[in-house]
Amino acid sequence: MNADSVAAFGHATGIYAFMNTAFGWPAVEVIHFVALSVLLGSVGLFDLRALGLARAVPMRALHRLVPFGVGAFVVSALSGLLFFVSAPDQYMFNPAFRLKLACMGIAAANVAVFYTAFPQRVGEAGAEEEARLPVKVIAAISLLSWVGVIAFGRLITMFRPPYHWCFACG
Amino acid sequence: MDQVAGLEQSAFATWLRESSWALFALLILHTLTMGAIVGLALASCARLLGLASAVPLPAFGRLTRVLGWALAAAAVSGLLLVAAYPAKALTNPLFYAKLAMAASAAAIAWNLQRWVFAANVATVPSWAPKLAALGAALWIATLAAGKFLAYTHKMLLVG
Repeated sequence: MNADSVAAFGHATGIYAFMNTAFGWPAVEVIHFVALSVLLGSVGLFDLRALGLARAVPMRALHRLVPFGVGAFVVSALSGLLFFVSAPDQYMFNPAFRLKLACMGIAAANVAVFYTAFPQRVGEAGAEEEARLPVKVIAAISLLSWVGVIAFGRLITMFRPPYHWCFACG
Repeated sequence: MDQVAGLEQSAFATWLRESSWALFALLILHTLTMGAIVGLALASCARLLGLASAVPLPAFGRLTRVLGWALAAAAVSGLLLVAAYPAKALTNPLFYAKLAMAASAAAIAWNLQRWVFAANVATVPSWAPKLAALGAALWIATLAAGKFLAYTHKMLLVG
């Protein structure tokens, strides 16, 4: 995959033209960020409870919000693709974007570990009960990963022009 | 406009603009806290609409207390961002709309916390889900206004 072929795809599909309408880019930014906010308000809350905040909340009950986080992740990924396709050179070589992707990878692997290695522990902590250590560790990694995704996403504009900052581009 | 220019040219505002990290640190803090606020407002709305209804209201209220801290941090970081580029915000009508919507949404959040989550009510009052939905919509509109500020300003600096 190179920047030119991605840009050609953006032009051919009309994504580039849409994103460069008067309010195309900021409107997609709003959708992208609302989706990330839903992630914080669902998965992030579940993580905070696992880490000990508001122990009166039974984890299984709070887990009912997590599917909304999964849906929000899909929306944020799809809206993020619209940015990427519209200006691939601004993202591909950008260290903040690469770190954002790394955080997303860690978060995804973390979710996979959580639901495969500890499926019985998802909601085991009832009201006033403490989550077990492995669940706490996974919750901490999850929370840090999503905070990293948002923080590095915000930093993308700091690295302009991105080629100047790409130490791995040769 | 003289006062705006005075603030813009103050040593602190100049440092905020010229520092290699300060402005981005503020932007990250503002983004994370606004994300937390919108997320918590939507979660409150979901709880009051009956999702995750097994979570007791007072217990859920302990989670939504985070909203108060996030709001304080968003307000402080937002004020500092305005201090860095005062003309950019203060000459844009959208900025005042953003402030009005944020103030209304914060008042709604306070009322929900006071009269529903912390009030030990047995059942969700009928008005609460509608108020929570209005609050969440206002937070999303606040967030959207913030994003559009970057695209609609008429002036970046006075000088």
